[in-house]
Amino acid sequence: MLLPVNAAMMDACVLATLEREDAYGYRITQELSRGIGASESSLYPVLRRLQKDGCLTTYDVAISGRNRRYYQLTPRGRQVLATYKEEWIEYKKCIDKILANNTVSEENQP
Amino acid sequence: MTRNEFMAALRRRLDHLPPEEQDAALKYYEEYFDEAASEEEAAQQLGSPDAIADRILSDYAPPAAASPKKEGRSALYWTGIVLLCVFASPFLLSLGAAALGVALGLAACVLAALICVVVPFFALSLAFLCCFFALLWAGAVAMPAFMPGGLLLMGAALLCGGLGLLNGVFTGYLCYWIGLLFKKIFSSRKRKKEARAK
Repeated sequence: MLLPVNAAMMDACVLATLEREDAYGYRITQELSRGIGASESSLYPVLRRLQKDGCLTTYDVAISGRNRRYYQLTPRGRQVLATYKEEWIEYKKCIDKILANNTVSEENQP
Repeated sequence: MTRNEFMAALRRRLDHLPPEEQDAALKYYEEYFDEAASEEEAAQQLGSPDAIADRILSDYAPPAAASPKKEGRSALYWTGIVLLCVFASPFLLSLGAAALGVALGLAACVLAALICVVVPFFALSLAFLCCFFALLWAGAVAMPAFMPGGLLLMGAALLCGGLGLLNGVFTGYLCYWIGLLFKKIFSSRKRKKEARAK
């Protein structure tokens, strides 16, 4: 992607991935790298930070002799995600307006 | 890079982190290797352990910066602490004195407010009592001359007496509650003092 995904957008994407169902690290990485091409090196710190901020909790599930750590949205996480979604719509509107205006002014130029 | 090489490199780089942070991060990447289809695939997706460690360390800048102090609490560190205490002491003492002053002032205000509440009630009771006797006397005087008027005055006297009695009981309760309140305040202060002494 030409436009980089900043830290806040990364948070929003991770929260959104977990909105439908809980998931474990590898799974989240797969979803995100498919979606926005995020590399794995950036995911773990994001998960850890969101967890510390109280947006995520974890629980462990034993699966074929090893451990899988699932991440789950907390009520606060849902709230933060809702805020991000609203912010995104606003942001998109602003950028759209600027991009559209520039196109119009270019067209108006003789 | 093999799984073992990757994990060893990561472990080395995260050495300065608090143990629970190290543990969480290492577990996460162990799990990642477990989940991936193959070791090579995981290593390739994860990229350089150094880059990952940099990201993790940059997120934990405060604890990472604090841990070297823990290791080598140098003479400079202790000198700094002592100097800080010395320089801060006038400030801390004056802060303590100010807090004490504020507490005493507040206590005085509360006491004054309570007195202001209680004294009028006493006065009201006294007034009712005076009314009772005055009306009783007036009724007794008026009775022989004009019986209904005398009875009316006597009735008014009884009404005043009753109101005075009720008010007196209420005032008594008020005093009792205030006493309880003070007891509570002082006992909690005592407890605090005891806790501080410990």
